[in-house]
Amino acid sequence: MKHIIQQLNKSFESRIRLGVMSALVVNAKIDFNTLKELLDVSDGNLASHITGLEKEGYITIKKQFIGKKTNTTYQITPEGRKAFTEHLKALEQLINPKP
Amino acid sequence: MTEKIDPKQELNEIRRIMERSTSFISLSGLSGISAGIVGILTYFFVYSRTNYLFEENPNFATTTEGLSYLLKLLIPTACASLATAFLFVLYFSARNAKANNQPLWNKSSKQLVANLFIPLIAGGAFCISLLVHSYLDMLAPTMVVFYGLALLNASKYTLEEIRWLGITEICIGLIACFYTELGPWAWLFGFGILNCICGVVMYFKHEQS
Repeated sequence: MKHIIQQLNKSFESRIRLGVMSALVVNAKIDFNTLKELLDVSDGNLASHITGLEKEGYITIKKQFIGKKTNTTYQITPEGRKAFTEHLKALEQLINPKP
Repeated sequence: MTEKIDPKQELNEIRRIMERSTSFISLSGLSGISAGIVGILTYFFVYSRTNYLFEENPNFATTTEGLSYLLKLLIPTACASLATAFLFVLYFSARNAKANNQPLWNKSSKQLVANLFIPLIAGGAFCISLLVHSYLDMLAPTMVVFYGLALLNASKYTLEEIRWLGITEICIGLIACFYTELGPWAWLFGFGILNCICGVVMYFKHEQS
């Protein structure tokens, strides 16, 4: 299982973005470390893709303090959900082209 | 960057991440088997401690001393066997999580535990009320029904087999609610044998590699 992600990460960088979106679309919010574990990526790599997604307006970033630690969580925006759903539809159509 | 895209693989990947981010996949089949064995042992323990009393006096449970004997026997036994089964589940799942390089205590496992225990504790309290009112016939079937509801509720956060286990438990428990003479069998089957079967299925489906 794990090797698939690692393999894909090398070949397509955008896989990480897709992974982030896939996780956020089914969870109300996720924090950085959970995403990191889930996608098995490095801090820097994940951070840059998250920034990219935020710039596109697909996700929002919330920073909170829990004691002295910062806790950063991510949420999908309505635009992000729409874009992701359309992407899914496109993929499905690639498999089952409608006549 | 956009080399050949394999949409099927991409969709599988998306699905896998969705599942992994919402469900605890390290639940081990061995934990189901061990929980089942704990269930079977509990059944025979309680049977050996109560059966002769009912043979002496079928209305044993309605007497004051009978009731207090049952309360003192059944509540600690239920708590102890639940705790033992839970420890086994934790142990085998921790082992499995470690082998899969996954955390044991993540968002999904927390939700799994919370969603399992809320109906389970409610069921436990309800069963104590049944005992207090001497509705002894309904005790075993009710436990099975609530266990099934708890599993069904928790199944959103783990492997699909748990959902089917939950539904089967509910059916068995409800049948025993109507045919209360089947109560002890439903208990043995629901908490013992079914857990074992589900554990074996889970083990061979997810951990044989």
